[in-house]
Amino acid sequence: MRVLIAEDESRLAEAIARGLRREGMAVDLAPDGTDALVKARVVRYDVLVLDRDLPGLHGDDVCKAVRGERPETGILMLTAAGALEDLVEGLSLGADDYLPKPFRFAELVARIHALARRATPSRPPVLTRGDIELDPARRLVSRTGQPVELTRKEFGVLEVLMDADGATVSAEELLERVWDEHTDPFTNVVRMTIMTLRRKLGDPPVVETVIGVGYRMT
Amino acid sequence: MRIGPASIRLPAPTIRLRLTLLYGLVFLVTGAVLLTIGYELVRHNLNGTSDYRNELRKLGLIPPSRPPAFGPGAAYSRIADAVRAQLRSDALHRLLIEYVVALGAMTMVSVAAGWLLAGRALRPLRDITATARRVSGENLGERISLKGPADELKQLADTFDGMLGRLDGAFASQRHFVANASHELRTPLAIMRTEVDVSLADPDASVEDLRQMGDAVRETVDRCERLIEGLLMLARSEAATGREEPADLAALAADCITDLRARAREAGVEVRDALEQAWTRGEPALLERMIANLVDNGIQHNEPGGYLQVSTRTVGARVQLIVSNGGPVIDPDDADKLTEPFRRLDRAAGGFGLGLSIVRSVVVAHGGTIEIWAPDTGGLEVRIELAALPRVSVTVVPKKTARALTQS
Repeated sequence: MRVLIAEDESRLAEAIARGLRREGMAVDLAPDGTDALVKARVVRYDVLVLDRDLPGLHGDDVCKAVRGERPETGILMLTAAGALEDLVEGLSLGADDYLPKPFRFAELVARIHALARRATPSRPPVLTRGDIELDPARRLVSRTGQPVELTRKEFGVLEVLMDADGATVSAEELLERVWDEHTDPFTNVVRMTIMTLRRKLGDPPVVETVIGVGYRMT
Repeated sequence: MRIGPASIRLPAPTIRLRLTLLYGLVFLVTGAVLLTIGYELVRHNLNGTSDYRNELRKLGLIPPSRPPAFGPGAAYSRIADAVRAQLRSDALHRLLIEYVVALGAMTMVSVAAGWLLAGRALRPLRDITATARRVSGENLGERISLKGPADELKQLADTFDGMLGRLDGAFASQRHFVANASHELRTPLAIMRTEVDVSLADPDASVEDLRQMGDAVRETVDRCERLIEGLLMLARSEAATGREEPADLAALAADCITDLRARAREAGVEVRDALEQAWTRGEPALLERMIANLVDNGIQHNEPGGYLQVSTRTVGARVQLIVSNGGPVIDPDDADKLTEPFRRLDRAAGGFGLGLSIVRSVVVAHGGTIEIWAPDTGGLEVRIELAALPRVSVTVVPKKTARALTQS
């Protein structure tokens, strides 16, 4: 899952990013509204965590623009103004959820998961394909009931592949959705991760390579 | 509430009712006077010795000469007199009744007309009342905007509108302040909460990680402290205690410059001063904070190689403090707004945007004026005028003593 945090308080942004990365998410940061909009246009984020009071371009404007151009991106608005009118206004601008500061970090994580699930309407809380089960919120994977230990990236790749429901997913898309902006686009991390993922999931193999196109679940 | 057999519900004594009754009364009195005059005139004219005898003579009822004392002529004359008296009395009686009836009818008409007219004249007042009822703290956008000639009621309505405008502004700035203050206070709380949550949620957090979390929290607590101190200072300067004593702005400025000289050197800012005695009355701690904020701003929002000029002087009955500094060019429109709380030109520069608000608030509390000017060449110039201490004491206070005094 890929998340963009648009927050001008660098300390807060970094603390959130640190926590979300530990949850296995790929996190990018944007210190102002303009940067946030540019990034949200280029990359398909699952969730945008948007501070309302941003310098440059105001959070409300970012929210409207992203809602118009990227309907699939869930928008979670963060704000220091916790009054009811602010909540109503924020949601009316197109935000999907609203969290007043200060917030409990666990609540933020839960809401991000809920938003990501809402982005693909039919998606159940636990993904199942064949004998593999994947619980994004609790970050658990099992095959025939046996738990499988995965790294964050392996987990992310498997989540995207299972979400695609047998369709082929290109390496670029995996790179975009599972890794953050600091990853070299010419790297072979995707191939390496697929390799280790196949090994950990064991036999019979479930991830197959479509030569020249990408990967899919059998 | 009156209770009793005679508790007839009287209409409320509104201005409309009183005006109507007054109109009716005035009409009744003037009408009565006019009719009395008319009645008296008619009566007088009927009494007058008119030529009715000539008419009788023409008819041959009486002889053309002196009226006879006896005979049929005399009888005619007496009959004519009696008839005349009867006619006169009848006419006057009828006239009286007709007058009274007419006066009564017209009084009723005038009361009705008065009721309508009074209602019409008082309609603007009803509009004003209705608007005033609708207006509350949450809804100050309403205006009466009374149309019509510039009469007393229009003046009242316009004055009311003006007052609403000022209240609206005051409430808006109050709301703005509260929103900003809550934003500034919640943000560090959010940082601390997230730092702690994230660090504690990590079962493998090393001592180093926890130490970093502690550092971050401590830094954020410092920030909260500075913010709360700034807010308290602003509140204190707004409610000046009135504990005033003579103070020399020059001495206070010299101390501030000495304290901040190291910082200025670090920032590559050249500090110039032109300090002449400028004695005023005020709360020294607040005046000192005012100057310190200005000097601090002058260094903070400067550029390497820039200047900071502080001058004080006495001009007639006023003392002046002028702090100007170089730096990036500032939009003059923005410069005017810098004294609003939480107004910052550059959020990355740190600070909360309370410094100049405190300055303005101190100046206002001391009955002075403040002007902020953004020159085209960049930087900012702040000019403050306060009342000079009457009868300027020329006692030269040695700098050490002045300093000891101001620091106490």
